Amino acid sequence: MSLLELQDVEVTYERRGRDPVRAVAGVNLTVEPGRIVGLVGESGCGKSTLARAVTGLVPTSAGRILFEGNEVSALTRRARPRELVRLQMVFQNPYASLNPRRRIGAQLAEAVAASGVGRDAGRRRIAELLEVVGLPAAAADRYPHQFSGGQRQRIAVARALAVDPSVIVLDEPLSSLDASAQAQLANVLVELAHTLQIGLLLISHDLAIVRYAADEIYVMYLGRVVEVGSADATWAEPLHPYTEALIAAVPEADGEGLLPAALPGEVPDPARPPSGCRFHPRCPYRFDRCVEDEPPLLRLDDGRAAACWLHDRDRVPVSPGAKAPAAAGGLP
Amino acid sequence: MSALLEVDALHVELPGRGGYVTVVEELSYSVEPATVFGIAGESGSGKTMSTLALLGLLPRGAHVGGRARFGGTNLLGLGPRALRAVRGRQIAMVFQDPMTALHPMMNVGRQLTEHVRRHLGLPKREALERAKSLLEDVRIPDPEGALTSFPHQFSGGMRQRIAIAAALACEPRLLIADEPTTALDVTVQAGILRLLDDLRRERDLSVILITHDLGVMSSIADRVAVMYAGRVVEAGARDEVLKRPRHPYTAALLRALPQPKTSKATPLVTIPGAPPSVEAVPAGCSFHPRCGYAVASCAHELPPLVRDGERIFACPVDPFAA
Repeated sequence: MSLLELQDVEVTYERRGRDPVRAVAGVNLTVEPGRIVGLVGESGCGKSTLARAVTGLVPTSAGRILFEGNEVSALTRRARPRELVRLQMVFQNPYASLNPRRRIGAQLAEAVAASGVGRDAGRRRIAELLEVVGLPAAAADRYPHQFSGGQRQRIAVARALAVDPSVIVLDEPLSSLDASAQAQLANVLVELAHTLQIGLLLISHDLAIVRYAADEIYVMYLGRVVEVGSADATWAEPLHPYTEALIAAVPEADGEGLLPAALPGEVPDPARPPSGCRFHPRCPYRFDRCVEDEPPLLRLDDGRAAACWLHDRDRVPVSPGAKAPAAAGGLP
Repeated sequence: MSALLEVDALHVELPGRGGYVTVVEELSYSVEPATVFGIAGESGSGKTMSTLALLGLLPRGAHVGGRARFGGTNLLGLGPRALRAVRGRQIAMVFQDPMTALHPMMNVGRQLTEHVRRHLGLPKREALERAKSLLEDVRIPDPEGALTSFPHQFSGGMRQRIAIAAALACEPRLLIADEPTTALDVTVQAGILRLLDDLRRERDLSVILITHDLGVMSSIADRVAVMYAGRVVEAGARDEVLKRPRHPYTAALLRALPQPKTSKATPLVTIPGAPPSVEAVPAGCSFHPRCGYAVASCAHELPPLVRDGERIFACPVDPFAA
C-alpha cells in the first residue's frame, strides 16, 4: 500500500454566475515511504490546489485521496481526524506560518506535546528536531524574526516533523529563498526522506531545483499531469513539449550571456481549456490530432508517461513537425 | 565612451532601533550607455538600498554619502524638486511586483498617458497614440484594447510588461529593474528578459538589473557586481566573473546553484550559516565566518578591493588556485 494515493482527483471551484473552474482535472499520483515526489508546473496549473486537496483544505469534486489507507475528506469545523495527523503540510511563506511573538521552542513544544511526549523528553525532542533541520539547539530560545527566511522555513519543517509524520506536503517551500538557503533546504529534505523514510510531496514551479531533490517528477499543465518519470530522465530527456519548454526557459549562470527560450502565448483560462490537448495552442510540434483529441497519459518505457500524441505508438504519420521532441532539439 | 552613470564611494546609513546602521559601504561602479549592469546578492546585501539612494527614495532620516554622476550632475547633491524631475523622466524603475507601480483602479491608457502629459506636456490625443505604441514596444497583444483595460485583467507577465511600458513612457536613459522577474514563472521570465535585451538595443537604454538569481544575471548583464553585507566583493565583465570567480563568495553562490548539465547524484554545495543582519556585520571580511578559504587575518582585516585588468575583487585568496 502506498502512503499516499490519489485516484482521478478533481477539484472544481464553483463561481457565482460564471463557468466553474476545474482547477485539478483528474490526477493520479502515489507517494511511497522514503521517496520524494516533485510536482512541477507554472501559475494556474493546479499544483497548489492539489496540495490543498491532499491535506483536506479544499474539497475534491471527484476521485479519492487515500492516506495510509484512510480516505482524506475536506476539513470541517470539527477537529482534524486523528488518523490524518501523520500527514503534514509546510507552506510557502514561513513568515506567515510561525507566530512572531512566541519563541521557537514554545512553538515546537506545542507540536511535540500533541504527539504525546512528556515535558523533559519534549525538550530533548525539540533539540533533536532542530538538529535534523541543521539548526543549533539554542535556536529554541529565539524568536522567528531573528532567523533568515531559509532558517525559518527549516523551522517550519521541524515543526511538521514534531508529530512523527509519514508524509509531508510542501507547497513551494523553496521559492522565496536565496540560492544558498535553497540548496540547504533541498539537502535537508533529501536527508529527511532517506533517514526517516518519510514520503515527501514537493510542489514547486522551479524544475531546476526540484530535480535535485526529487526521485520522481510529475509535471502539471492546466489541471492535468502531462508527464511523469524519474527526475534524472525527465530532466535529461523530457518527453512532453511543455516539459521541454520549462527546461529551456531556465537561465544558466554560465556567463555565456545566452537568453533562455520563451514559451509563446499565455496559460489559457482554466474555465475554458482549449480543445484536444490543452497545450496545443502553444506547442511547436502540434498536428491535427492535437487540436481534436485530448491525449491520455500514455504509459511508456522505464516507468515514464507522457500525455502527448507524439508518443502514441499507433499514431498515423503526420505533418513534418511531428517528430519526437528529444530528436527535434530546442524550441524556436 | 563616457559612462552614463558613475557611482563613487556610495555610503548609506539607515536609522535603526539602536542608532544608525550601515547598509551600503564604499560602493563604486559605472554604467555605460546601452548596457546592462547586473547587481547580484542575497536578501539584505544592500543591492536595493544602493539604487533607492540614487533616486532619493530611501526612508526618512537616511544618511547618504559619496557621489553619483549622471549626465553631468551629482544625483546625491540634488534637492527633492530637482530629483523629481529626474525620476521617471531620465531614470525610471520597475519592481518585482508590477502592482506596486500600477494603480489598480485606473485603466492602462490613463496610467500610461499621465506620465507623458505631466513630464512632456503632450496633449491627450498624442499621449494616447504614444501609449499605444509603447504597448506595442513591450509586445502586448491588442494594444488598442489594452488601453481601456485594468491591470487585474492581465496575467503577471503582461502586468510587468505594462509596468515596463509605463517606465519607458518618457524615454528614460536609465532603467533600474529591481528583481523584475522574480515573481514570474520561468517561461514568462524568459520573455521579459528577452524584452529587456531588445529594449536596450532598440532604445539605447541602459539598465541596472538587481537580482538574486545568477542565472538571470548571466543571461542579459554585460557587467556584473556581486554584493555581500553592503559591499561589493567582486565586479567585472559577466563572463569573467561567472566563468572564473575570484572571490570565494561568488564561487560559493555559483556552486549552490543546481547545475543543468551535471547529474543530480552530487548534492548541492551549500554555504554554511546565513548572511549577517545589518546590525551584526562581522569584523574583518564580512564573509569570513562562512568562507571555506578564510585564514586568521580575515577575521580582523578588511581585504581591500584590488584591480586585475577589468575586474575588481576583495579577497587575497584565489578560490581556484587554492
